[in-house]
Amino acid sequence: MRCGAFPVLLRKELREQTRSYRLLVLGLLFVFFGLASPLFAKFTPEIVKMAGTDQGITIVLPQPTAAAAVAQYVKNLSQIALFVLIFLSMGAVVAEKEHGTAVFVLVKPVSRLAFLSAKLAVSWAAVMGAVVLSGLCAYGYTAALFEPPSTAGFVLANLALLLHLLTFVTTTFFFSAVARSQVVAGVLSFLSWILLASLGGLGAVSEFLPGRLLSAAMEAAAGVPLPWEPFVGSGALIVLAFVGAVLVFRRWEP
Amino acid sequence: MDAIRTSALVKSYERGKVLALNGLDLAVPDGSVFGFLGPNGAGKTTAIKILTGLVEPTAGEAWVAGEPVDNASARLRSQIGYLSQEPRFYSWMTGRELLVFAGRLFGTGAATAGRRADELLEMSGLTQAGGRRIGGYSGGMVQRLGIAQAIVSEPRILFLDEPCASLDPLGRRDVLGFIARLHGRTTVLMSTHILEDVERVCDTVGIIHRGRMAATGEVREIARRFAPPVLELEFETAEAADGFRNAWAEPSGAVPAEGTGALVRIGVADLAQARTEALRIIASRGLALTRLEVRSASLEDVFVRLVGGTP
Repeated sequence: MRCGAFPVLLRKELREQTRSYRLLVLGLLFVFFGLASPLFAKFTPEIVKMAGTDQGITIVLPQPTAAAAVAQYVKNLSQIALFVLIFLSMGAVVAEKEHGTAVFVLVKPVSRLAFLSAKLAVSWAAVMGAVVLSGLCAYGYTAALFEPPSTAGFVLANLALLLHLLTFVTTTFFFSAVARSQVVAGVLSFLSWILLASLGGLGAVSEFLPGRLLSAAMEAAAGVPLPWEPFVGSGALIVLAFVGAVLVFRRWEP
Repeated sequence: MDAIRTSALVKSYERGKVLALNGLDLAVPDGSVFGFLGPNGAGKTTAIKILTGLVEPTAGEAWVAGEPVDNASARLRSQIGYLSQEPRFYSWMTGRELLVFAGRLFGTGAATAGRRADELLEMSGLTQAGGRRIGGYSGGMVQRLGIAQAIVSEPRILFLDEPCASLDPLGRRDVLGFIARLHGRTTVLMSTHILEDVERVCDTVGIIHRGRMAATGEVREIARRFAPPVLELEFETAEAADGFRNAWAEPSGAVPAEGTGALVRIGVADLAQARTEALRIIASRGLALTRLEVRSASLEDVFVRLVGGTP
């Protein structure tokens, strides 16, 4: 029986992610933030209040709510977890170029598009799985410590959060396909993250940036409908990054 | 029919400042084991990378198995096998997993790929190590695994870039024996700078120098064409050899006698005339000769003559 190269590459990527413990690290990290975020939201005000009492100061903080737990969850996943995610993804293509394993694969009847697509598909699947796990943990703990958040709102919040993470995974992937070393790919990925975040004050344009997805996620949890602009903007960025990666990688010479 | 053909192939880097290939015309007959010889930096690896579709030429054309070379041609790559100069594989895979993976990339089903992997592991002496991670393999084992993965699809054309470079003498013997067995079934293009390896397994040879073919043809024919036979004379003493060298320089002039100590080597265009002249000198000067031998030119003689020791 004959089969195409794409599923073979997919299986190889999945196996590599498992054997290198990347999937495990990602899963544990996201589960941790899913569980810890409602806990932080619940106990941070009490800890701050206790610290103030020790100093003889009375600090009045608003009563923590389920919305605060969701906001904490979005912040944790979009900052610390994203940082780790970029770190784990920056070598996706460039490591194979550096180590010479890309040559071993590309000299077989495998298109460069299939080579890249399989890598990105597995990266995306890993992030999606991690967000689902994290979301389930966060939802359960928020329901236990506060009251159950609106399921629809929480799902929409996770959708926006997921797109935010996938956008940066794809731009990191682009830099990994373009760069000549993992360090360069990593530096460019972090710089692009900072740059996109710093463009948040650009008025109407900022509505289309991936950063807007985070505030949209928090609002969605409170029942506010999701805006379309950051979805279009992030989607366009994803398409551009992937097409750019394919075009540049097609011309790559070992 | 030629299995591999290039026409005026050019590859330059750094906006033309570095010329790796400078109009390479190459023709490799179908079914031959072709020795691609050249000093380091002559353009061997670049030419192989172009022929395997990994690198695009700056100018010129190339055909492999009748297909125009193009890095997007999966049809071309389904007919070739390739072992790079420093093969690198996924260190987290086992040897068997790598061979199955390589086979499946050619569209082979899982069961067939598994059987072929076992066959190749046995052929390359890696059956015991097949279940171990490649990260723990020695250089020689990686090289043998590299050859195994290169022939996993039973390719029509096999490109081997310095296949014996990191092997010990036993490993080298095994690999050369294996390449020799492919003769007539698979066209093999083997780049190397080890002349002895070419003489042992190759039927045709091409010498590349500064990005161009300096010579190409059958090994014996090329030796005959590019390097004259050598007259080797061994005298009883070094003084006698010196005496001969001095006398030889006078009448012949253009062909200086080489060699050290009691040994004298002379490359000759007209063997009969040179032999007569040598014997005349020896007799007239009363030099004590212990041996006189006519040797055919070796590939090394051709290589030195064409390449002259410069890259």
